[in-house]
Amino acid sequence: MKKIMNNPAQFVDDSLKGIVAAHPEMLKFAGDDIRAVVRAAAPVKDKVAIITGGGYGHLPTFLGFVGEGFCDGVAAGNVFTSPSSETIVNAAQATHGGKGVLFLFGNYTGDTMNFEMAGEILAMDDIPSAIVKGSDDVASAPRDEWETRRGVAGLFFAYKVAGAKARTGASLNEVVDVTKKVGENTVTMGIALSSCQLPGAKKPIFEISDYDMELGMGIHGEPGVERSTLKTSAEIANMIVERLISDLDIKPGAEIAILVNGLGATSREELYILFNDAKQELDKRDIKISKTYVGEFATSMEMQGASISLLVLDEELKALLDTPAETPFVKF
Amino acid sequence: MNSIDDVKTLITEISNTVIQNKDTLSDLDSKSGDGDLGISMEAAFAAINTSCQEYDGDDLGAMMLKASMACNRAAPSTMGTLISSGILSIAKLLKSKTSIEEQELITLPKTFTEGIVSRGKAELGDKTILDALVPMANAVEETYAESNDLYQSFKAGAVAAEEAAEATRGMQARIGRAKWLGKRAAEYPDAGAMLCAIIAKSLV
Repeated sequence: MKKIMNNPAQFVDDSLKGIVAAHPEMLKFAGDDIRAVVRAAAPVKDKVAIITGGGYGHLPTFLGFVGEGFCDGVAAGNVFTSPSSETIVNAAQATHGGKGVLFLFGNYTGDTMNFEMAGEILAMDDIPSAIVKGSDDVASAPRDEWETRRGVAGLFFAYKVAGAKARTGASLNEVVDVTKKVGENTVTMGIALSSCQLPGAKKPIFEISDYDMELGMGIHGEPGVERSTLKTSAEIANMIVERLISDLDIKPGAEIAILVNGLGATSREELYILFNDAKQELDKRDIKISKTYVGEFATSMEMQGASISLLVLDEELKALLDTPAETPFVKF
Repeated sequence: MNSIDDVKTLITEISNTVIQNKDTLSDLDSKSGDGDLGISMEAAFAAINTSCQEYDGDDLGAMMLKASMACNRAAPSTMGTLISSGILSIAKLLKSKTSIEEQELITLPKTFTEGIVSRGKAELGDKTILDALVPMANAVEETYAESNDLYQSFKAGAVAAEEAAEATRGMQARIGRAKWLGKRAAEYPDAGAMLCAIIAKSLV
């Protein structure tokens, strides 16, 4: 696979520099740590600061959700590798507005260790922090162990809700509670059609033939539920929606938000075909779509494939999803 | 009582010993992990030592906090993060202190262990660094309680760590990458436990 870059070792730094240089009115580095990018307006006084982060290579996740009504800062690691706790601390210190810090990120071992460690370091400076993790990938563990699941595209819902809640001046505990509610009610499942390649690597991270797809594959190529020949969009939508609904036991009459996410190299045209089929599956079951998001939210560099996420809504979550928000990557 | 310079000397000692043993660590790790433990620990301990030697203040806690961050930056692997977490625990204990009493020195292995336990969430018998670290920390404290002799206590710790690391041979890993190898990796001692034995030996 070909990539536009200079030096694989500079891949992340060069990309981050480009993003900050392109959007100086919205973003800046936290001091001289160019792995910590924060809102240009940071620190925002009397608002819970929301810090996210993780391995690079998933844009718009994570940096693309730093902006007004979303997160306040991000700690970026190397491609598919956790950021250091030091970078997380730098992002948190640059954004802390006096009401504590929420660490909101996907559930992976390295990220968890480094965010926990950053929380301990902040506590030494009397800055309170809390952790909420996205664990929405149904393919990675059964429902009764849902908190051990990997975090994938559904994390977007948590960003949107947490950002909107923090903006109301809510306390850290209040932001944590509503964000946890999102986590408990979000499910995602994806398919991969092709692989992706780490900058500088000689081979793709996994092999898959032109005629196959993998159901339930993670966004770093973690093995999924099964590999099969490529199905039609209607068949894919049926398999995924069926699985998501039964996982959360979503009843007829329920209101949901749906996110159809592209993994990086699947066209918008295809994503809307998949959305159309997913909508029919939901309509059949009398499940009402209140909010629809279609596009790229969490990618795996140039991987082909897509995921569908559902969030079961109540009035509070609906209102928070409806609040305006803007980053260099998305606007609602 | 130990001054900040005594601590710096000790850290150089530990760091040099780990670096001298990097091939042993990598060889062991390649039997059950991805074989990079020697390289990552060389990077980690070189960074810890440099960070401490460059520290020109007099707050032991602040020095250890910087060392913890330097280690995390140089070795963002699982073991690197665990070692950083152990050092961070020590940093919290020594916050605002300019020297360290013998009674506190004795508790440092346990403090270091607590940092690793809270981060890694492994248990005794999982075939990890803890299987050497816990017996070592206990031996140090128990020997000191009986003898009040610092040197004898750390010597007992080194012996306990070495025996315990050797005893991980035959254990089946229940956590981390080695877990997936099941019985295939059981005949080798755990590389993390061996790292602990190497560090314990460098203290006496």
